[in-house]
Amino acid sequence: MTPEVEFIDLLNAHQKIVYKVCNLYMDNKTDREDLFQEICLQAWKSYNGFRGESQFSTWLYRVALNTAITFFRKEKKQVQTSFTENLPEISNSEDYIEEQVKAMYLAIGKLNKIDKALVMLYIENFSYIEIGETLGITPNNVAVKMNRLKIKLKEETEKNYQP
Amino acid sequence: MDLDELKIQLNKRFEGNQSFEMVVSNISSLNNIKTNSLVSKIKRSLLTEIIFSIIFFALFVYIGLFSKNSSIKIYFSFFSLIILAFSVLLFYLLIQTNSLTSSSSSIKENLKKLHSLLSEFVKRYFQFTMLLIPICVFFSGYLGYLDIEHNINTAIFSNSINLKKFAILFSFIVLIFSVGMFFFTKWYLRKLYGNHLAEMKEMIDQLES
Repeated sequence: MTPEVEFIDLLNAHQKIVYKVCNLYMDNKTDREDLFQEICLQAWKSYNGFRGESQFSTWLYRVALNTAITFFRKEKKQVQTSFTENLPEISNSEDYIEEQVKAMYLAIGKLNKIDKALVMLYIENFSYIEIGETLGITPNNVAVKMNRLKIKLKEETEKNYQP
Repeated sequence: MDLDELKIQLNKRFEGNQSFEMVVSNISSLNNIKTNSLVSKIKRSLLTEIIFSIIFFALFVYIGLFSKNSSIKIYFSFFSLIILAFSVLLFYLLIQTNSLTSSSSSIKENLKKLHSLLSEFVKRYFQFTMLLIPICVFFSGYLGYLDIEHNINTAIFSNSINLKKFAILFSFIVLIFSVGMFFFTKWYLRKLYGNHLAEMKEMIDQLES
């Protein structure tokens, strides 16, 4: 199997990671598509450096977040869409849960790029050590930041959600 | 409800890929993408400037070699050397930028490398532009003076009062040009890269806090 084919297979098997990062960092379809392509390109360019020491998914998260954080929108007027429009409905959810999820999602959308990366890795069940390695900070620092973030998100969610 | 309670719910929702769907089927389709990353933007700027430098270098060398006017010859020959030096600097920065294509390092390390590269680029660009001002002024003044000496009977400089007026006017134009270039270069670099630099610095500070 050639490296190209191997990479495409791995990428397609893990493409949900790329979708998640795009949905989190970009608030309209055009930007998400641009970012998706950019992440795939950067992943391919960096693929030679992937030695299999970590899982492909962990490596792809790192490339995707690095790319998303240093990705800048094209300077043209674009129709902005609400961040919560990216949120798929779950038919059997009760309304109040749905509203709270939307409120939380809205609060996450307002976070800065670094905090978004923290939340994403936390939601993906990365350990504090793994989050620290991805961000380049210590696990203790991750713990402190996560505690602050949880409080901030809870407050923001309460503001956004009024039953 | 807090983040932990919503973890599973949010995780399902982050996968919401219904808003757009893209499939990567081959590598060649990726290589044709006009990318929008900061590294690509710097590379595009560097390549454009290298192309223009080569064109101007060739033009200046041609004028320097074939002009009949000795002042013009000296002026363009000297500036062809300056452009050559600038091209070497641009190539050096391009090599540095190419080494940054691997973005699998940690986010902080990546941001620091990018910030350092962009700061270096902006600093050198500004220094070079500012360095050109006194060199331009010196050469145009000196070569103009030589021309006057060779043609002392020129009507404009036939008396010392006209020469004084010319010197004042020349100094005034040089001053306006220098101040204009200073602010224009600052504005131009800030417009192109200032926001990116500030944003990266802010993110590095956030990670280090």
